[in-house]
Amino acid sequence: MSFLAKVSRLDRRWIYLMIALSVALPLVWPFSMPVKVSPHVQSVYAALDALPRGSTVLCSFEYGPSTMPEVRPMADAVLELLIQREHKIIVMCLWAEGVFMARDILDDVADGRHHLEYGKDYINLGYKAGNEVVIKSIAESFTRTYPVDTRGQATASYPIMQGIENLANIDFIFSFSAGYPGTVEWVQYAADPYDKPLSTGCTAVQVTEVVPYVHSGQCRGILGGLSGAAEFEHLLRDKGILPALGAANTGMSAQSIAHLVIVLFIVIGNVAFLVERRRQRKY
Amino acid sequence: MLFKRWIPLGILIFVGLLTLVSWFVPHDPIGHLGQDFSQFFDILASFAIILGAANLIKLQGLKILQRKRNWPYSIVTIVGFLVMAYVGMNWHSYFGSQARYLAGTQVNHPQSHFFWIYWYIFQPLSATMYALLAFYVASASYRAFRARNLEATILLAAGIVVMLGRVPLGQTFTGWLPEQGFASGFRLEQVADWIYTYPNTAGQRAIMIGIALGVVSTSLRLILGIEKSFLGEE
Repeated sequence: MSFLAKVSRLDRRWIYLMIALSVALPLVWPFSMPVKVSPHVQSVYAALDALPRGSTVLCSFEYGPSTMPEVRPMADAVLELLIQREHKIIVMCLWAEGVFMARDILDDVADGRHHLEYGKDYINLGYKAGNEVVIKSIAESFTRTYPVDTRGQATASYPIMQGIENLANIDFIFSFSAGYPGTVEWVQYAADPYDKPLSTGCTAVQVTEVVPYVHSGQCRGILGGLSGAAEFEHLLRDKGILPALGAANTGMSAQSIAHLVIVLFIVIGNVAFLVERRRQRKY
Repeated sequence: MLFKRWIPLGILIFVGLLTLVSWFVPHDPIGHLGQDFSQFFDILASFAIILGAANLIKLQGLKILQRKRNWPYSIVTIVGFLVMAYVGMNWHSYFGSQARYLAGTQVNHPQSHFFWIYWYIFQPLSATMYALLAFYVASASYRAFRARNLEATILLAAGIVVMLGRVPLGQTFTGWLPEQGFASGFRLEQVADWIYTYPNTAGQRAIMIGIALGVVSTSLRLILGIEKSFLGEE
């Protein structure tokens, strides 16, 4: 068997080993690389930056543990910006898992880092079944859709909810999304019909379906995948909002090497395939 | 015939038409009724969980009883389901503290059994499953991503450009090109952005418009009573 034939039939365990090393080593010994902030990420910052201090921002959590490494860093950075600008944050979840994701990050950022007061500076309304119908429902009334929050208290009893009747009283919507229901539903059922500004942080695989809404102006920019989160962290650090780069940039070095290794495998596989095909045609 | 056909059809036509009209006439009473009908979906979705749970128990139970392939996994499924249902519905399922918590908050409270199981069992398992994708994607790309014809070659080239153009290390390959002017358009991140902006957006919009037309035509068929498959008819 020729060398190229051997290469084209490479045992998959070698590929697994290379991928494992390419992901693990940069995580153990992270290295930084220059990150160029894309226009989509700049649009997200510009949209949030334009909000007057003390605005009410609705943050929706639509991701779970599987996509947490990709979406959590952007949620962390966005919440940091919102809190520093003294915005009121209303959290809700269209995914059942989103409740845990929201709780994790609020405990970390709002409670731990900034010692915000629950019910006054932010509130977690939790999860409600119904997907896009929940969005339609909050357009009518928050308190009817969420009579109690995740702590079991009447939603209407919190100071943050005073004067917040429905979606019309929300100044900005931010969707942390990893699929359905997510950003697309927020555009179709809230941002577009009620003319509300919306931005999103979503997984890389979702970027292809959200990008058309960004180009049409229905979504103000997009943080796409871990690279989008890394760019946003760079932008916030340069603006003095983040003291240091976060988890997205650590993960970015691992993702860079992993992408490179996968591309190398694809190239090697194709070279072997083309040479083999030429040889077969010859004989 | 009346209960099986005409009443469900009448409800569908009435609710469908009213919901459609409420979009264009958002004033009371039509607007309010349209909102109420949307709420019906919430209620029905909540009831659907009972059906789903019963179906899960039935299918997995049959698998165990008939000793079908991989039946021990069905035991894990049923035990996992029952344990989560118990700790999720039990208002007093907490660790240590005897503090009195409000009913319903046990699914969100860090001291609850539900939260513990979710955070320390489900979360790592789910993350592990997703992380394994990287290995399968790499292996599958190596074996299946071949330049067999023109279409496959274009797809291959676009995939490689986007993969490299989205990460800083990949961007360094064309980092020597100027950031402004005509040549900047050949930088990997620019080409990746171009792929997202034009071919991808065009394709996505075509899909979205196709889906929207399909939804409109199916909805009209349902509202006009032409489509009766939901009644079990041909």
